[in-house]
Amino acid sequence: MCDFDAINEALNSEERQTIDVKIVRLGGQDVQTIEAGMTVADFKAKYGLEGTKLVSAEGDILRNSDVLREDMKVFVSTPKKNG
Amino acid sequence: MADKFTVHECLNLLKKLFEKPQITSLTITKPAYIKLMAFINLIGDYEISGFGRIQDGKVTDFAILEQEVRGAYVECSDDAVAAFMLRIPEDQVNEWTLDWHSHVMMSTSPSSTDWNNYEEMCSARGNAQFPFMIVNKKQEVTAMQYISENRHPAIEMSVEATDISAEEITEIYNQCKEEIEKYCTKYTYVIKDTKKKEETKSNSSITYSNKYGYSYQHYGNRNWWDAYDEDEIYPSSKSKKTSKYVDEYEEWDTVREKQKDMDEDLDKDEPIIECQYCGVELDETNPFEMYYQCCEDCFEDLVHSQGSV
Repeated sequence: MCDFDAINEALNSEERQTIDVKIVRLGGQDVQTIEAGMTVADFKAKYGLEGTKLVSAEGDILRNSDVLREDMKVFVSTPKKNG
Repeated sequence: MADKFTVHECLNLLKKLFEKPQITSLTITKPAYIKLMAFINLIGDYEISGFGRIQDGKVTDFAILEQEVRGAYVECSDDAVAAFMLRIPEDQVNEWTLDWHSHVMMSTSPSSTDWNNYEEMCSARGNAQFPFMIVNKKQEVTAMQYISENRHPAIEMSVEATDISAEEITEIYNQCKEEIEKYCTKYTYVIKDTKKKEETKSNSSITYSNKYGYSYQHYGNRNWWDAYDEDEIYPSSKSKKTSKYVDEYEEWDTVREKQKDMDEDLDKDEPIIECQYCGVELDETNPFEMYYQCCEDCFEDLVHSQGSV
């Protein structure tokens, strides 16, 4: 016998485990669904952003240990060096 | 040994091979072009860098961000780039895609520094392709669409043929002047000439130093636009020495020591020192020429041929 209540509960809890974060880059922005509780360091590693700096909409630099929050707007920045 | 890539990286590389350039030609509006020329000429013998706004296949605006400018190098920190992104309206973020900088009077071919940065920029943009442009005071332009390290097709550039009034040009000029004052920091040394025992002044003897380990004077040429008063834009207080540049100052100290030694030698028998490449007599008051035993023209040719600037 299938336990639909358990499945629904599991699905709901899974939904709660992901959050949406708005990523703003030069040239575009998109919404990324990530695991809740993901740190900036994990996020950078997962999306290949190791050499970049993440900045909040308030202009604060996000540290590697900071946890990304639901509906957070994150700006991806990298130095511009020309020679 | 082959590089190790994750599946995600492999797919990205594959995608890059199939990707078609999104931009093959661009038209710059006349006011935007005037603004670009104002930026690169107002900054004098220094490089300058910024972003451009593209709307419907036209470059409609150019902007600069906080940066440290040098004769053969310009750097905007990641904080400055973030500040720029926060500065522009959110609905314009996807329009400010054009990456540009100037090469003063030199060739507009991208340097190794440029290529490295384009790769970093591409990663930061989520591996999205983007256009870049290098200009100089001679109005030479190199524009390409950066897709990947090995794929960067050329973009055909043109300037829109529209009328523009003298008032508009003056307004653009004043706006650029204000922005340069606000965002650009000149990296300068004011040095003391050990031979003449008098402090050297900006236009005639500013010595620029860069991270490649050499210093030189009088880089680039003056032209019609350089009639502005440089001191008005850059008061001498802008010269700075921070911990970040201690190494370069130390390096300069070494250069000055060598120069001092050379001066002492010159005082003894005063031989004529010639450029080791073209044989022209070197200016003994020019520490750059004395240090490298090479005239500035030959030095520029060497840098060109080695492609290290």
